[in-house]
Amino acid sequence: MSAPLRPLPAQRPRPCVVVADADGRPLCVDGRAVGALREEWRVEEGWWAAPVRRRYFEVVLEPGSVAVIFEDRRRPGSWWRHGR
Amino acid sequence: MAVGPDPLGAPRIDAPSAAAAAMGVRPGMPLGEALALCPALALIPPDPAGARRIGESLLAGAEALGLPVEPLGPDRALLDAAPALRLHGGPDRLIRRLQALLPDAGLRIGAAPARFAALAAARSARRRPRILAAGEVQAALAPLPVRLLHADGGACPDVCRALELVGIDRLGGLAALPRLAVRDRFGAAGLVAWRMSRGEDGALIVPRRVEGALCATFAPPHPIASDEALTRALELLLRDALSDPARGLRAPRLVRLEAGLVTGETWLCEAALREPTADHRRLMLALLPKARRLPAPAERLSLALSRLAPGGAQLSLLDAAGDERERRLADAERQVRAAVGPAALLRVVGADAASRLPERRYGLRPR
Repeated sequence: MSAPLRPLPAQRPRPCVVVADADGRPLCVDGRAVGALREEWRVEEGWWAAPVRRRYFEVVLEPGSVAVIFEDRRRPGSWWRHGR
Repeated sequence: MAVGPDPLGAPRIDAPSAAAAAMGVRPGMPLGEALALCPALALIPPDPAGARRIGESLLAGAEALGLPVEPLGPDRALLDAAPALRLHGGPDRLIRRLQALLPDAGLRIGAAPARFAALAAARSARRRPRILAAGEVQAALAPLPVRLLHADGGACPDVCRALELVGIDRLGGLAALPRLAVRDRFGAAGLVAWRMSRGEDGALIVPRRVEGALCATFAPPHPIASDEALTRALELLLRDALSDPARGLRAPRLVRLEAGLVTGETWLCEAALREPTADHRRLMLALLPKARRLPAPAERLSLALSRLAPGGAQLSLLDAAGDERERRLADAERQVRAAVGPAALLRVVGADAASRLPERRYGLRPR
Protein backbone atom coordinates (compact mmCIF):
# COMPACT_ATOMS: atom_id res chain seq x y z
CA MET A 1 0.00 0.00 0.00
CA SER A 2 1.40 3.41 -0.92
CA ALA A 3 2.20 6.03 1.68
CA PRO A 4 -0.59 8.56 2.49
CA LEU A 5 -0.44 11.90 0.75
CA ARG A 6 0.69 14.91 2.70
CA PRO A 7 -0.89 18.24 1.76
CA LEU A 8 1.22 20.67 -0.20
CA PRO A 9 2.65 23.28 2.22
CA ALA A 10 1.90 26.10 -0.20
CA GLN A 11 -1.78 25.16 -0.22
CA ARG A 12 -2.24 24.06 3.38
CA PRO A 13 -4.50 26.58 5.18
CA ARG A 14 -2.84 28.55 7.96
CA PRO A 15 -4.65 30.52 10.64
CA CYS A 16 -4.68 34.27 10.10
CA VAL A 17 -6.03 37.34 11.84
CA VAL A 18 -8.84 39.11 10.04
CA VAL A 19 -10.82 42.16 10.93
CA ALA A 20 -14.23 41.92 9.26
CA ASP A 21 -17.18 44.27 8.89
CA ALA A 22 -20.70 43.59 10.08
CA ASP A 23 -21.45 41.47 6.98
CA GLY A 24 -18.40 39.30 7.59
CA ARG A 25 -16.36 40.80 4.74
CA PRO A 26 -12.65 41.20 5.51
CA LEU A 27 -11.25 44.69 6.00
CA CYS A 28 -7.77 43.78 7.18
CA VAL A 29 -5.76 40.53 6.91
CA ASP A 30 -2.74 39.93 9.13
CA GLY A 31 -2.41 43.65 9.67
CA ARG A 32 -2.61 44.56 5.98
CA ALA A 33 -5.56 46.52 4.67
CA VAL A 34 -7.82 44.94 2.05
CA GLY A 35 -7.64 47.12 -1.07
CA ALA A 36 -10.21 45.24 -3.11
CA LEU A 37 -12.49 42.23 -2.82
CA ARG A 38 -12.04 40.27 -6.04
CA GLU A 39 -14.35 37.34 -5.46
CA GLU A 40 -16.46 35.64 -2.83
CA TRP A 41 -17.79 32.06 -2.82
CA ARG A 42 -18.95 29.38 -0.43
CA VAL A 43 -17.99 25.73 -0.11
CA GLU A 44 -20.27 23.41 1.81
CA GLU A 45 -19.66 19.70 1.39
CA GLY A 46 -18.65 16.49 3.14
CA TRP A 47 -21.78 16.51 5.39
CA TRP A 48 -21.77 12.72 5.24
CA ALA A 49 -18.29 12.30 6.76
CA ALA A 50 -16.26 15.41 7.57
CA PRO A 51 -18.42 18.49 7.11
CA VAL A 52 -16.80 21.52 5.48
CA ARG A 53 -18.52 24.92 5.58
CA ARG A 54 -16.36 27.76 4.36
CA ARG A 55 -16.90 31.28 3.11
CA TYR A 56 -14.05 32.13 0.78
CA PHE A 57 -12.72 35.54 -0.26
CA GLU A 58 -10.08 36.41 -2.82
CA VAL A 59 -8.72 39.76 -1.77
CA VAL A 60 -6.09 42.22 -2.89
CA LEU A 61 -3.99 43.35 0.04
CA GLU A 62 -2.09 46.60 0.24
CA PRO A 63 0.28 47.25 -1.43
CA GLY A 64 -0.78 44.77 -4.12
CA SER A 65 -0.55 41.03 -3.28
CA VAL A 66 -3.46 38.65 -3.75
CA ALA A 67 -4.58 36.28 -0.98
CA VAL A 68 -7.22 33.59 -0.68
CA ILE A 69 -8.76 33.46 2.79
CA PHE A 70 -11.80 31.79 4.28
CA GLU A 71 -13.89 31.83 7.40
CA ASP A 72 -14.71 28.44 8.88
CA ARG A 73 -18.51 28.69 9.25
CA ARG A 74 -18.58 25.88 11.77
CA ARG A 75 -16.55 28.14 14.09
CA PRO A 76 -17.53 31.73 13.24
CA GLY A 77 -14.65 34.15 13.63
CA SER A 78 -12.06 31.49 12.77
CA TRP A 79 -10.14 32.68 9.70
CA TRP A 80 -7.68 30.77 7.54
CA ARG A 81 -5.45 31.63 4.65
CA HIS A 82 -4.15 29.51 1.72
CA GLY A 83 -0.54 29.92 0.70
CA ARG A 84 1.73 32.65 1.96
CA MET B 1 -3.55 -11.75 -62.32
CA ALA B 2 -3.09 -9.81 -59.09
CA VAL B 3 -0.32 -8.46 -56.91
CA GLY B 4 0.72 -11.07 -54.36
CA PRO B 5 0.93 -10.53 -50.59
CA ASP B 6 3.70 -8.60 -48.94
CA PRO B 7 6.10 -11.21 -47.49
CA LEU B 8 6.03 -9.46 -44.09
CA GLY B 9 2.39 -8.44 -44.12
CA ALA B 10 -1.02 -10.09 -44.06
CA PRO B 11 -1.60 -12.76 -46.77
CA ARG B 12 -3.89 -10.60 -48.89
CA ILE B 13 -3.79 -9.86 -52.61
CA ASP B 14 -4.06 -6.44 -54.19
CA ALA B 15 -4.88 -4.74 -57.51
CA PRO B 16 -6.61 -7.61 -59.35
CA SER B 17 -6.76 -7.35 -63.14
CA ALA B 18 -10.10 -6.87 -64.89
CA ALA B 19 -10.31 -10.60 -65.68
CA ALA B 20 -9.67 -11.53 -62.05
CA ALA B 21 -12.14 -8.91 -60.87
CA ALA B 22 -14.76 -10.39 -63.18
CA MET B 23 -14.38 -13.67 -61.29
CA GLY B 24 -15.01 -11.96 -57.97
CA VAL B 25 -11.45 -11.22 -56.84
CA ARG B 26 -11.33 -7.95 -54.89
CA PRO B 27 -8.42 -5.85 -53.60
CA GLY B 28 -7.49 -6.81 -50.02
CA MET B 29 -9.08 -10.26 -50.31
CA PRO B 30 -7.34 -13.09 -48.40
CA LEU B 31 -5.07 -15.11 -50.70
CA GLY B 32 -6.89 -18.40 -50.05
CA GLU B 33 -10.27 -16.90 -50.89
CA ALA B 34 -8.92 -15.31 -54.08
CA LEU B 35 -7.40 -18.63 -55.23
CA ALA B 36 -10.65 -20.43 -54.45
CA LEU B 37 -12.57 -17.99 -56.66
CA CYS B 38 -9.96 -17.95 -59.41
CA PRO B 39 -7.70 -21.05 -59.31
CA ALA B 40 -5.64 -19.84 -62.30
CA LEU B 41 -4.85 -16.53 -60.57
CA ALA B 42 -1.26 -15.51 -61.40
CA LEU B 43 0.44 -13.62 -58.58
CA ILE B 44 2.97 -10.89 -59.29
CA PRO B 45 5.53 -10.12 -56.55
CA PRO B 46 4.84 -6.71 -54.99
CA ASP B 47 7.12 -3.91 -56.10
CA PRO B 48 6.25 -1.01 -53.77
CA ALA B 49 9.28 1.06 -54.73
CA GLY B 50 8.52 0.66 -58.44
CA ALA B 51 4.84 1.46 -57.91
CA ARG B 52 5.76 4.54 -55.97
CA ARG B 53 8.15 5.67 -58.68
CA ILE B 54 5.52 5.21 -61.39
CA GLY B 55 2.87 6.98 -59.32
CA GLU B 56 5.22 9.87 -58.69
CA SER B 57 6.09 10.17 -62.38
CA LEU B 58 2.38 10.23 -63.22
CA LEU B 59 1.65 12.99 -60.71
CA ALA B 60 4.66 14.98 -61.89
CA GLY B 61 3.46 14.53 -65.49
CA ALA B 62 0.01 15.84 -64.56
CA GLU B 63 1.59 18.83 -62.85
CA ALA B 64 3.67 19.45 -65.97
CA LEU B 65 0.38 19.62 -67.88
CA GLY B 66 -0.66 22.47 -65.59
CA LEU B 67 -3.04 20.51 -63.32
CA PRO B 68 -2.94 20.95 -59.53
CA VAL B 69 -2.70 17.49 -57.94
CA GLU B 70 -4.05 16.21 -54.60
CA PRO B 71 -2.76 12.66 -53.92
CA LEU B 72 -5.27 10.49 -52.03
CA GLY B 73 -3.08 7.43 -51.55
CA PRO B 74 -0.71 5.28 -53.53
CA ASP B 75 -3.16 4.67 -56.36
CA ARG B 76 -5.60 7.59 -56.43
CA ALA B 77 -5.35 11.32 -56.94
CA LEU B 78 -7.64 14.25 -57.63
CA LEU B 79 -6.71 16.67 -60.40
CA ASP B 80 -8.23 20.07 -60.93
CA ALA B 81 -8.76 20.27 -64.67
CA ALA B 82 -10.52 23.64 -64.74
CA PRO B 83 -7.42 25.88 -65.01
CA ALA B 84 -5.94 23.92 -67.91
CA LEU B 85 -9.01 22.96 -70.00
CA ARG B 86 -8.71 25.80 -72.49
CA LEU B 87 -4.96 25.42 -72.65
CA HIS B 88 -5.33 21.82 -73.83
CA GLY B 89 -8.35 22.38 -76.07
CA GLY B 90 -11.09 20.68 -74.04
CA PRO B 91 -11.59 17.68 -71.77
CA ASP B 92 -11.11 14.98 -74.42
CA ARG B 93 -7.68 16.18 -75.48
CA LEU B 94 -6.62 16.70 -71.88
CA ILE B 95 -7.64 13.13 -71.01
CA ARG B 96 -5.72 11.78 -74.02
CA ARG B 97 -2.62 13.59 -72.82
CA LEU B 98 -3.07 12.18 -69.33
CA GLN B 99 -3.44 8.67 -70.72
CA ALA B 100 -0.31 9.18 -72.79
CA LEU B 101 1.68 9.66 -69.59
CA LEU B 102 1.27 5.96 -68.80
CA PRO B 103 -0.12 4.32 -71.95
CA ASP B 104 -0.16 0.71 -70.73
CA ALA B 105 -1.09 1.23 -67.10
CA GLY B 106 -4.84 1.01 -67.53
CA LEU B 107 -5.52 4.32 -65.87
CA ARG B 108 -9.09 4.81 -64.71
CA ILE B 109 -10.10 8.39 -65.30
CA GLY B 110 -13.32 9.98 -64.14
CA ALA B 111 -14.39 13.60 -64.35
CA ALA B 112 -17.20 15.41 -62.57
CA PRO B 113 -17.96 18.86 -61.16
CA ALA B 114 -17.47 17.64 -57.56
CA ARG B 115 -14.80 15.68 -55.71
CA PHE B 116 -16.76 12.63 -54.60
CA ALA B 117 -18.59 12.38 -57.90
CA ALA B 118 -15.25 12.42 -59.77
CA LEU B 119 -13.93 9.58 -57.61
CA ALA B 120 -17.12 7.59 -58.14
CA ALA B 121 -16.87 8.18 -61.90
CA ALA B 122 -13.27 6.96 -61.92
CA ARG B 123 -14.25 3.88 -59.90
CA SER B 124 -16.84 2.90 -62.50
CA ALA B 125 -14.68 3.84 -65.51
CA ARG B 126 -12.99 1.04 -67.41
CA ARG B 127 -10.82 1.57 -70.48
CA ARG B 128 -12.79 4.60 -71.51
CA PRO B 129 -12.87 7.55 -69.14
CA ARG B 130 -16.21 8.46 -67.61
CA ILE B 131 -17.20 12.10 -67.69
CA LEU B 132 -20.23 13.27 -65.71
CA ALA B 133 -21.84 16.58 -66.61
CA ALA B 134 -23.45 18.65 -63.85
CA GLY B 135 -26.94 17.39 -64.71
CA GLU B 136 -25.91 13.72 -64.69
CA VAL B 137 -24.19 13.57 -61.32
CA GLN B 138 -27.17 12.78 -59.08
CA ALA B 139 -28.48 10.07 -61.38
CA ALA B 140 -25.02 8.49 -61.64
CA LEU B 141 -24.50 8.52 -57.87
CA ALA B 142 -27.98 7.34 -56.88
CA PRO B 143 -27.46 3.55 -57.29
CA LEU B 144 -24.08 3.49 -55.53
CA PRO B 145 -23.83 2.05 -51.99
CA VAL B 146 -23.72 4.45 -49.06
CA ARG B 147 -20.49 2.91 -47.71
CA LEU B 148 -18.62 4.49 -50.65
CA LEU B 149 -19.07 7.81 -48.87
CA HIS B 150 -16.57 6.58 -46.30
CA ALA B 151 -14.35 4.49 -48.58
CA ASP B 152 -13.93 7.14 -51.29
CA GLY B 153 -15.09 10.40 -49.78
CA GLY B 154 -13.77 10.03 -46.23
CA ALA B 155 -17.21 10.64 -44.70
CA CYS B 156 -17.81 9.63 -41.08
CA PRO B 157 -18.16 5.81 -40.92
CA ASP B 158 -20.69 6.08 -38.07
CA VAL B 159 -23.02 8.08 -40.31
CA CYS B 160 -22.73 5.47 -43.09
CA ARG B 161 -23.44 2.63 -40.64
CA ALA B 162 -26.40 4.45 -39.14
CA LEU B 163 -27.84 5.13 -42.59
CA GLU B 164 -27.56 1.44 -43.50
CA LEU B 165 -29.19 0.47 -40.20
CA VAL B 166 -32.24 2.56 -41.01
CA GLY B 167 -32.46 1.03 -44.47
CA ILE B 168 -30.83 3.79 -46.52
CA ASP B 169 -28.11 1.84 -48.29
CA ARG B 170 -27.99 3.73 -51.61
CA LEU B 171 -26.85 7.29 -52.23
CA GLY B 172 -30.12 8.09 -53.97
CA GLY B 173 -32.00 7.48 -50.71
CA LEU B 174 -29.74 9.81 -48.79
CA ALA B 175 -29.86 12.52 -51.46
CA ALA B 176 -33.66 12.49 -51.35
CA LEU B 177 -33.79 13.28 -47.62
CA PRO B 178 -34.49 16.88 -46.59
CA ARG B 179 -31.31 18.73 -45.67
CA LEU B 180 -32.52 19.84 -42.26
CA ALA B 181 -33.68 16.33 -41.35
CA VAL B 182 -30.16 15.00 -42.07
CA ARG B 183 -28.60 17.88 -40.15
CA ASP B 184 -30.91 17.24 -37.21
CA ARG B 185 -30.29 13.47 -37.06
CA PHE B 186 -26.58 13.20 -37.99
CA GLY B 187 -25.13 16.64 -37.31
CA ALA B 188 -22.41 18.28 -39.38
CA ALA B 189 -20.93 14.90 -40.43
CA GLY B 190 -24.29 13.88 -41.84
CA LEU B 191 -24.52 17.10 -43.80
CA VAL B 192 -21.10 16.42 -45.36
CA ALA B 193 -22.29 12.96 -46.45
CA TRP B 194 -25.56 14.40 -47.75
CA ARG B 195 -23.73 16.96 -49.89
CA MET B 196 -21.48 14.24 -51.32
CA SER B 197 -24.47 12.09 -52.21
CA ARG B 198 -25.90 15.01 -54.22
CA GLY B 199 -22.64 15.94 -55.90
CA GLU B 200 -22.53 19.21 -54.00
CA ASP B 201 -19.31 18.75 -52.06
CA GLY B 202 -17.44 21.24 -54.22
CA ALA B 203 -14.55 20.96 -56.62
CA LEU B 204 -11.85 22.52 -54.49
CA ILE B 205 -8.77 20.37 -54.11
CA VAL B 206 -5.74 20.85 -51.90
CA PRO B 207 -2.75 20.71 -54.24
CA ARG B 208 0.29 18.94 -52.89
CA ARG B 209 3.37 20.92 -52.09
CA VAL B 210 6.18 19.80 -54.29
CA GLU B 211 9.29 19.67 -52.17
CA GLY B 212 12.72 18.32 -52.78
CA ALA B 213 14.29 15.39 -51.01
CA LEU B 214 17.90 14.65 -50.22
CA CYS B 215 18.74 11.32 -51.83
CA ALA B 216 21.65 8.93 -51.64
CA THR B 217 22.11 5.54 -53.26
CA PHE B 218 24.51 2.76 -52.39
CA ALA B 219 25.21 -0.42 -54.36
CA PRO B 220 27.54 -2.60 -52.27
CA PRO B 221 29.98 -5.04 -53.90
CA HIS B 222 28.16 -7.91 -52.17
CA PRO B 223 24.48 -8.08 -51.21
CA ILE B 224 23.76 -6.75 -47.74
CA ALA B 225 22.78 -9.72 -45.62
CA SER B 226 24.16 -9.06 -42.14
CA ASP B 227 23.14 -6.60 -39.48
CA GLU B 228 26.61 -5.09 -39.40
CA ALA B 229 26.68 -4.53 -43.16
CA LEU B 230 23.22 -2.97 -43.00
CA THR B 231 24.28 -0.60 -40.22
CA ARG B 232 27.41 0.42 -42.14
CA ALA B 233 25.43 0.98 -45.33
CA LEU B 234 22.83 3.13 -43.55
CA GLU B 235 25.56 5.19 -41.92
CA LEU B 236 27.12 5.83 -45.33
CA LEU B 237 23.78 6.75 -46.87
CA LEU B 238 22.86 9.09 -44.02
CA ARG B 239 26.24 10.78 -44.16
CA ASP B 240 25.92 11.28 -47.93
CA ALA B 241 22.37 12.60 -47.79
CA LEU B 242 22.97 14.92 -44.83
CA SER B 243 26.10 16.39 -46.38
CA ASP B 244 24.17 17.58 -49.43
CA PRO B 245 24.72 21.36 -49.56
CA ALA B 246 21.10 21.79 -50.66
CA ARG B 247 20.06 20.90 -47.10
CA GLY B 248 21.41 24.10 -45.61
CA LEU B 249 20.25 24.37 -41.99
CA ARG B 250 17.14 22.30 -42.58
CA ALA B 251 16.51 18.87 -41.10
CA PRO B 252 14.29 16.02 -42.34
CA ARG B 253 11.09 14.78 -40.74
CA LEU B 254 10.65 11.74 -42.98
CA VAL B 255 13.21 9.10 -43.89
CA ARG B 256 12.43 6.61 -46.64
CA LEU B 257 14.58 3.61 -47.44
CA GLU B 258 14.18 1.67 -50.69
CA ALA B 259 15.92 -1.62 -51.28
CA GLY B 260 16.42 -3.66 -54.43
CA LEU B 261 16.47 -7.29 -53.29
CA VAL B 262 18.43 -10.20 -54.75
CA THR B 263 15.09 -11.85 -55.51
CA GLY B 264 14.34 -9.08 -58.02
CA GLU B 265 11.65 -7.50 -55.85
CA THR B 266 11.81 -4.13 -54.20
CA TRP B 267 11.07 -3.21 -50.61
CA LEU B 268 10.60 0.09 -48.88
CA CYS B 269 10.09 1.40 -45.39
CA GLU B 270 9.51 4.85 -43.94
CA ALA B 271 10.33 6.35 -40.58
CA ALA B 272 8.50 9.55 -39.62
CA LEU B 273 10.18 11.66 -36.98
CA ARG B 274 8.28 13.56 -34.32
CA GLU B 275 10.44 16.60 -34.89
CA PRO B 276 12.94 17.48 -37.60
CA THR B 277 16.44 16.39 -36.79
CA ALA B 278 19.74 16.13 -38.59
CA ASP B 279 21.27 14.23 -35.70
CA HIS B 280 22.94 11.14 -37.16
CA ARG B 281 22.36 9.04 -34.04
CA ARG B 282 18.65 9.83 -33.78
CA LEU B 283 18.08 9.19 -37.46
CA MET B 284 19.78 5.80 -37.10
CA LEU B 285 17.63 5.01 -34.06
CA ALA B 286 14.49 5.71 -36.07
CA LEU B 287 15.54 3.93 -39.23
CA LEU B 288 17.54 0.89 -38.18
CA PRO B 289 14.76 -1.11 -36.44
CA LYS B 290 12.60 -0.80 -39.56
CA ALA B 291 15.45 -1.51 -41.96
CA ARG B 292 16.21 -4.74 -40.07
CA ARG B 293 12.94 -6.13 -41.42
CA LEU B 294 14.48 -6.45 -44.89
CA PRO B 295 12.92 -9.66 -46.22
CA ALA B 296 15.97 -10.68 -48.32
CA PRO B 297 19.57 -9.56 -48.95
CA ALA B 298 19.68 -6.18 -50.66
CA GLU B 299 21.69 -5.42 -53.80
CA ARG B 300 20.96 -1.71 -53.73
CA LEU B 301 19.81 0.75 -51.08
CA SER B 302 18.41 4.23 -51.65
CA LEU B 303 17.74 6.72 -48.92
CA ALA B 304 15.57 9.81 -49.24
CA LEU B 305 15.28 12.48 -46.54
CA SER B 306 12.22 14.64 -47.07
CA ARG B 307 9.84 17.10 -45.35
CA LEU B 308 12.79 19.30 -44.64
CA ALA B 309 12.13 21.89 -41.96
CA PRO B 310 14.32 24.40 -40.20
CA GLY B 311 15.44 23.96 -36.65
CA GLY B 312 17.05 20.55 -36.54
CA ALA B 313 20.43 21.82 -35.42
CA GLN B 314 18.96 23.92 -32.59
CA LEU B 315 16.80 21.06 -31.34
CA SER B 316 19.81 18.82 -31.07
CA LEU B 317 21.63 21.42 -29.03
CA LEU B 318 18.68 21.85 -26.65
CA ASP B 319 18.48 18.10 -26.10
CA ALA B 320 22.12 17.99 -25.10
CA ALA B 321 21.54 20.80 -22.57
CA GLY B 322 18.50 18.93 -21.21
CA ASP B 323 20.57 15.79 -20.71
CA GLU B 324 23.11 17.78 -18.75
CA ARG B 325 20.38 19.29 -16.55
CA GLU B 326 18.92 15.83 -15.85
CA ARG B 327 22.34 14.54 -14.85
CA ARG B 328 22.91 17.45 -12.46
CA LEU B 329 19.46 17.02 -10.91
CA ALA B 330 20.06 13.32 -10.29
CA ASP B 331 23.40 14.17 -8.72
CA ALA B 332 21.84 16.81 -6.45
CA GLU B 333 19.11 14.36 -5.44
CA ARG B 334 21.68 11.79 -4.37
CA GLN B 335 23.51 14.39 -2.30
CA VAL B 336 20.33 15.59 -0.54
CA ARG B 337 19.33 12.04 0.34
CA ALA B 338 22.79 11.29 1.70
CA ALA B 339 22.82 14.45 3.83
CA VAL B 340 19.23 14.62 5.16
CA GLY B 341 17.80 11.13 4.77
CA PRO B 342 15.87 9.08 2.24
CA ALA B 343 12.50 10.73 3.09
CA ALA B 344 13.79 14.25 2.50
CA LEU B 345 12.63 14.45 -1.10
CA LEU B 346 8.94 14.43 -1.89
CA ARG B 347 7.11 14.35 -5.21
CA VAL B 348 4.04 16.50 -5.94
CA VAL B 349 1.19 14.29 -7.17
CA GLY B 350 -2.33 15.13 -8.23
CA ALA B 351 -4.89 13.93 -5.69
CA ASP B 352 -8.27 15.43 -6.54
CA ALA B 353 -7.69 18.13 -9.12
CA ALA B 354 -11.40 19.00 -9.28
CA SER B 355 -11.77 19.50 -5.53
CA ARG B 356 -13.09 22.87 -4.41
CA LEU B 357 -10.73 22.76 -1.43
CA PRO B 358 -7.23 23.78 -2.60
CA GLU B 359 -5.42 21.64 -0.01
CA ARG B 360 -7.01 18.49 -1.45
CA ARG B 361 -5.98 19.05 -5.09
CA TYR B 362 -2.33 18.04 -4.78
CA GLY B 363 -0.28 16.15 -2.27
CA LEU B 364 3.26 15.17 -1.49
CA ARG B 365 4.52 11.63 -1.62
CA PRO B 366 8.06 10.31 -0.95
CA ARG B 367 10.00 9.81 -4.18
